[in-house]
Amino acid sequence: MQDLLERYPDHRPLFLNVAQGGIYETPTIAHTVLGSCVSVTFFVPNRGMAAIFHALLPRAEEYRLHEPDPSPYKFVDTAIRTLFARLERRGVSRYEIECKVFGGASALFAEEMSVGRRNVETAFTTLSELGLRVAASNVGGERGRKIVFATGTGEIFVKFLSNPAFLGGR
Amino acid sequence: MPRVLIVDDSRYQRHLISQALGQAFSPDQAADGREALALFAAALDIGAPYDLVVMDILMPELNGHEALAAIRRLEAEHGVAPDKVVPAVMLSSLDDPGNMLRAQFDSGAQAYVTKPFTPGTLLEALMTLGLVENPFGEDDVEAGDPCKIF
Repeated sequence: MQDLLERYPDHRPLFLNVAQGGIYETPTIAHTVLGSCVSVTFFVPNRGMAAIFHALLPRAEEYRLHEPDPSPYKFVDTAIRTLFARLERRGVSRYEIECKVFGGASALFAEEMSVGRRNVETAFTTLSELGLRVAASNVGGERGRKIVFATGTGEIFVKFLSNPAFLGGR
Repeated sequence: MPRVLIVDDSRYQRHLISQALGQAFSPDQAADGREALALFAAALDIGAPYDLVVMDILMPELNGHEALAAIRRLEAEHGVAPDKVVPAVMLSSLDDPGNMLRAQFDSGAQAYVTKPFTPGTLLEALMTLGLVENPFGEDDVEAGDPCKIF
């Protein structure tokens, strides 16, 4: 991680917790750790603008019992729609945005529709509904991922975790 | 030198992929899934398995999903442990949710890159799979990091 920070001396580091996200217009090294959770990165090459979130669960409407969750970034679908709406308000067209999808690991012997798989499916479906192209994805499997997003360049570095604490279920 | 099996029915696309991988890999090429399967089986039989598969989806004979699933079955028959299977990148012009999901959850791909692609995007995927140098250090997850698999 230190090597990456040294590689981008003009970027400020920022750790994203679960249910956090945002748009970054100054160079930022956004990093997070994903198990079943999903992150989608949005990069707008010609405007120096980027966005990312770290969402825990697939669709907000399936989980809201009484009132809206205070963070739109807790759920994959509302996180994508929120960030896309915020980018559009800044004058960004969907055709300028390069999206990538990460995370969605499942525990060994997980049921077929695990949370990880449903998170990824929701990400792909919501992006498709909005007409946003997925340039690349690295999803599924049984291991967690650490991801680092250099928002100034759009580069993404992913490392699979070997720590056994992130291999099993909770 | 690591060996890569490039599978695409377009000779031009195979050329682009080979160019993107540069001199880091020794490439073999197949124009459809059935030819890929034959090359993969022969490589296993002589004890010189591939280190990477880059697979298109829309191809004659066997499509990419079917070919990759067959490769996973071949590996299992040869006693390759599930965590030692050859890394595979699906590289396709299909960018719909169904194909991206199927590739990585059912067919056995570790990553998906959409055409048209840049060499940087493909190399980024390979970096994740540990096939090109990753600037991550050796440090692992920090204490207190929040996300689990459940």
